[in-house]
Amino acid sequence: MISIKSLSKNYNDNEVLKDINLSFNPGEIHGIVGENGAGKTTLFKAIAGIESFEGVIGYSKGNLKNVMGFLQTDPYFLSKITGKEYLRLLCKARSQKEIAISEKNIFDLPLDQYAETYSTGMQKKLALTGILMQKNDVYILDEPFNGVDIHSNTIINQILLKLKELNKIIILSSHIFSTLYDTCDYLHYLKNGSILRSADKSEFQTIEKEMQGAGIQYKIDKLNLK
Amino acid sequence: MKYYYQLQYRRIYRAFKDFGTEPVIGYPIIAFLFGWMSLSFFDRVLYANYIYIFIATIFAYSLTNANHIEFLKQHFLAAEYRKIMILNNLIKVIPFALLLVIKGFFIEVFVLCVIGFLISFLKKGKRQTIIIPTPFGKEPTEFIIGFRKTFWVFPLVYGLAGIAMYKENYNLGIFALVLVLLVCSGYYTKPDPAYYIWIYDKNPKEFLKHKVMLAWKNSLLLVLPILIVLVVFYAKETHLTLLFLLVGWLYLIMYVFMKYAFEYYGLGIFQGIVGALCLLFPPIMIITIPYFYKEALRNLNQSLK
Repeated sequence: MISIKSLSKNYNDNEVLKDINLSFNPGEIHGIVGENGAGKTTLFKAIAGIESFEGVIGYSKGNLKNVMGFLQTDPYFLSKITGKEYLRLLCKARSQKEIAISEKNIFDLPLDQYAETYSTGMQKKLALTGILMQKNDVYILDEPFNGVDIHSNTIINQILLKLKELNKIIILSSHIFSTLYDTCDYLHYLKNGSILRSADKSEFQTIEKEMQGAGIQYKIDKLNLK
Repeated sequence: MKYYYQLQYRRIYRAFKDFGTEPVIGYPIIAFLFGWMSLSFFDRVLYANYIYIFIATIFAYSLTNANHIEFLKQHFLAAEYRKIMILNNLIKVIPFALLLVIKGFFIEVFVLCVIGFLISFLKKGKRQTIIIPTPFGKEPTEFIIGFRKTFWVFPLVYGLAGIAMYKENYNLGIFALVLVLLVCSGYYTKPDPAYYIWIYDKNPKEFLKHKVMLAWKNSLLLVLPILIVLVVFYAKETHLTLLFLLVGWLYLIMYVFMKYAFEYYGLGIFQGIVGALCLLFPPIMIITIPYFYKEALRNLNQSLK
């Protein structure tokens, strides 16, 4: 289990995460929803240990970082590294001895080409394949469906359900509400750095309405479109 | 267009700030180093004026960023875009042109300005798609990236070692050996994004050991042809060859530690200054290597908890 207690994060005077308290159990899929800039990515980076923070993140099975796969919103690829080399690097970083790259290429990516030349969706799929090959226990997926084609979205959905079946902890974010409906067991609505509401499947619609009602019409009116 | 250049000025200003230097201090230091290095170059190198034009051309072209050009093309009117492109390239060659004026090479100044003008019309490819094979695929590291960027250097350096063998010039062979290790050190001048450190299941000490071992193994592979030539054809000087090799490896290891000791924009400039000092007086590495190792451990502690 991962437990987050009183997590806060400041950038100078700007408090981006405020007193976050959450817990994630194996075999559960948690979705973090919120507008752009709500603090989702910062929260993910804090859980991963990439960002420093105040508060406590506990993991019942030891060192969380070493069993975590983190899919970033815009995965960064080193220049002049092929897809195959990228996957090998991720596996080697986790001290994996046997690496069967070709058979794990379920998205049919051109692994002999430079990863930096891939399209946005292909890069996302490559990064996802990499963290899946690491055989992690915890997965943090920041916008896993962004820029990915419909067919691959279906595959990702199935992968998430398989990981759940394997008792992994999965935390993800998405702007596409329907994908969260299908996969998540719990949703947490993050607004201005605070968890405004946590809900199980029966209350998902309430969160969606709450998000939609957050002054959308007022904001469009402010544009004064003519 | 005026605002574009104001922004460019602000970007340079911020780069100095990020580097941890006040721009009022940074500008004179850069100007002094540039002037000093250029004047030393003219004092020591034959046909320096021609080589200097070549270096300036390479510098101006390599600073041309394909994405930046695309941005300018998209957002500025055609005439403005052309003016900016010409001005940008002339600005890049101005420091070199000033030095040529000081040295009295006026025709070369004219040639350089024409080159700067012509470069602004060159199209720079955004992405390279030719995959250059490397012998480092099993352990993807800085060596894969570095080798693919500098692969053309190695036939030249091995060629130098060949000349050293035929012309019985031991010093040239040593120069080739040192050059390979210098090129390898250059592979460690760009900081890794935090993610690429975070993915490792190693503590900072294990991580640095892993990186040093890779640097050592991979550089040995690149240096081996020259080493064989030197040991076979200059057996009497083997102890000297091994001494140069050892110092070269220490230099490379220092660069590995430096890469992880500091994480900020401009790391390459800092490494360049430290590297130049250590080249002039290698015993400094007795101090710099442990210092950078300690700093690297401290820095990595944040990403590899």
